[in-house]
Amino acid sequence: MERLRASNLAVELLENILVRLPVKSVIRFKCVEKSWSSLFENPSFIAKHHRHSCSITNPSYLIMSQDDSGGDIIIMSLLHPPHNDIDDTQVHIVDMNIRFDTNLISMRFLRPNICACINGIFCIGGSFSGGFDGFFLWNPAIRQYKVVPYPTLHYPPALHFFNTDHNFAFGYDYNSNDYKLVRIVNYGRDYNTFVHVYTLSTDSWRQKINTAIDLSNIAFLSTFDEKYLNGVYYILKDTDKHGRVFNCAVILSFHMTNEVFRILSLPEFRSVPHQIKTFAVFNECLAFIFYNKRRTTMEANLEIWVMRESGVQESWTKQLVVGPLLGIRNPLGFAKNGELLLLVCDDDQTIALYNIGSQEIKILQFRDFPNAFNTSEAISYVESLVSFKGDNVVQY
Amino acid sequence: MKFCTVKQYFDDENNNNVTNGIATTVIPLPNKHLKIKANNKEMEQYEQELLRNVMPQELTKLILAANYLNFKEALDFFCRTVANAIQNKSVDYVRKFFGLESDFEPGEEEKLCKEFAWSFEGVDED
Repeated sequence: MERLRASNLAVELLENILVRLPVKSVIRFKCVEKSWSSLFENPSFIAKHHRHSCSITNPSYLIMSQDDSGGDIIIMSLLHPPHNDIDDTQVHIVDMNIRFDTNLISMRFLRPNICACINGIFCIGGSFSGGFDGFFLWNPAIRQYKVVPYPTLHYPPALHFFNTDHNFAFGYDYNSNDYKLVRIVNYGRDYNTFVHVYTLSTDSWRQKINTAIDLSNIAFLSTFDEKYLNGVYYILKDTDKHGRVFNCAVILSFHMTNEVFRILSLPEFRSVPHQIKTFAVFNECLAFIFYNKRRTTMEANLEIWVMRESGVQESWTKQLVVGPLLGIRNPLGFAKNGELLLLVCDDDQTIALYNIGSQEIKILQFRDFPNAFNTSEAISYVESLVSFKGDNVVQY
Repeated sequence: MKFCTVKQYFDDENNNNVTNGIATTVIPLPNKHLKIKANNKEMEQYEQELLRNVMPQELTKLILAANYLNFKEALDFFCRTVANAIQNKSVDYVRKFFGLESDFEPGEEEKLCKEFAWSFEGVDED
């Protein structure tokens, strides 16, 4: 084939072509020439590439679970593209037993405190055997991971005996095209809440104290559920008035750009015995699934509410009701923009895909699956080029 | 919207961006698109045909023409065609395709290739 003169193509036209390449091709073409190599590491190109990928591909849905004996994390991929039809569902075991062979993490994962996936990168953190406390960022599409230890907390001596509760949030800052891991520390109702923010682009931590709103009524030790969506991290918390927990849950939200807390109320709903509340994402909006199972008939009923306008608690709208369904243990979330509802079945080994429109259920069976699902959500995943810099980065 | 630019082109006699040959390929594109929009298979076949019948230099010109004419669908189409054509090819192929040469230091390129060895698996033979 004769030559296509790159010099005739303005950089933006060349970018228009390159932004459409799959991740594997982009990585390989880093070897074409130096300017391509630096273009592919440019965060702005990486963001454009990912936006394009998301616009033309259906995501796959990941279920992350820690295996029964503790330690290994199992990630399974459902509805792996290309899939046009529910009949095309495939299950891929993305990685059984993540074992990282470095002298930094060759250990068992004991207690997780964050397990998230955003824009194609995983953030998994907690306590590891050998006394290591920290997290790692992992991009399986480019085979790279980075280990980051948590900074030690310098407790003021007087607070040594308090139970501190740490919440963690991992999210994307749209303004700066950056990723942040946030450790939210609360020492108790008489003290301020403060946050430690880790920023990927600077590979560093900084600390700030929350002064914006009064968080003294939040029972920090309670966390019912968490969800990241569009630049905001949401945590479902109980409130604590005068030292008693009052079964009045609220949503504590943390904005990834301005790093500010807000409290949002839940939708008005009729409280039913044995009801489970869980976040979901429905058509790019924060949603709530109220789920309960009748003890007598074992029928499950779900009520789904959607916050139509982000951050506006008055915009909670009852979107739909699903059920009664039999044989369901808990919901995992929506797929295909709210067309499908993913559910874990009673046996803990099968996943049901419920089509909201047609009300049909399809069951997915897993071969070679470990004992039980320990999971409450399915996360959407699209490959990305996001890479890591600085210390403790491994390319495998 | 699309046709304003076309009229402008025809009025502008000293236009080097678009030749008549290009105009005959780019302008009928929307009709072709409408006809075969629903059918992905046909679109792929059309893409293949285009690649066979159009020389790569022409492809650059097509892209430049579509860009000049502000014809987004055509631009997307041609860029997508090029991306699909090169995505599974070797580094050398891509260099030749765009008329580029390696500007890495002697050991540098080798180091990169080794680091990303997995991305070279399953690549089309040149």
